[in-house]
Amino acid sequence: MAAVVLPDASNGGAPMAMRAQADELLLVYFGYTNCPDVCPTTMADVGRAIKDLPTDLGPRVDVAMVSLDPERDTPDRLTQFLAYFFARSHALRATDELQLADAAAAFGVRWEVEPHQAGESYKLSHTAVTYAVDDTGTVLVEWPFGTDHQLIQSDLAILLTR
Amino acid sequence: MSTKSLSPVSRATLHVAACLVGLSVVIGGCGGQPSASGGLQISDVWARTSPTMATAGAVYMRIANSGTAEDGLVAARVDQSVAASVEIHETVASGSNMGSAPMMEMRPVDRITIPAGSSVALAPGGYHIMLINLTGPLQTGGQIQLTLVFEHAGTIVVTADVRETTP
Repeated sequence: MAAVVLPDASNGGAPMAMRAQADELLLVYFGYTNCPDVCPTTMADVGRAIKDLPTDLGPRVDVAMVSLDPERDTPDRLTQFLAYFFARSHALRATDELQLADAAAAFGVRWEVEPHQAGESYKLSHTAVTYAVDDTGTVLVEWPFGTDHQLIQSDLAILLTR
Repeated sequence: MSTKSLSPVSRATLHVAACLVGLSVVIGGCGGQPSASGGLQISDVWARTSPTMATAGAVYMRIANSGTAEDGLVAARVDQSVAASVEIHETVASGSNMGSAPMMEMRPVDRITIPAGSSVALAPGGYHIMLINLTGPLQTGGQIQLTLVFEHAGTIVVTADVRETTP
């Protein structure tokens, strides 16, 4: 897991290792910005959980979303989408399909892009799990879609103070 | 009722007027109040605030049916000034094996059945009305009008409050 590296579109495409800074947590989610229901619901719940943490803990949580739809998720779009929900975030976007597939496989993420013609609207199916990753790149906790923000907040507080 | 030719301002005015005099053509939830037509009561209509760059939105609500016959939500419309098109969708979790997370899949829905004497929630992770190609971000505190078409109750216009979380 520590070896997973993806381009950070919110940082000029610089490679980012998918692990937290020392004494911090990195929350990782794979999704897409044209997602109307599952992704914004998850982002809103995770964002609220972080905001509701005590002020000494909240700043120690970083967020990275990996786009499963780099075709439509331009670097700007993905960066602004995340900036809307989080004070700290990384817009991870790989245009190399193999690189994205490797990162997804490392987390057990599965997804399917609806077949479409160029310029045509399309949907994605995807697992929608939020992963809490430590500074070694180890996944400590997985929150499935629909996990209540208060539960995420309490898990975060436990992980940050253990 | 077609509102396509009205500007956002005049549509808003029309809506307020309808609230004041109780016009039957617009049965919108005035000021977030539940709206009703025949045996259907529609409440908690809301749309999630959309990030600046998002082109997709979702509207949620509760539809209760106090009548003695089932009804079905078969279509929804918004003004072109809000979004290019609208589809009724259901998010379905599928493909979960032992220990693996399910795939969340969005499927178009032809009809949402509202059983007699029961209610159905359109809620995150389930049914929603997807707004496709939003013309601009949905901003917290704003409102959008939505026309719902039911098999028996006909057309009902509701107002969705734009909010960050479920009411």
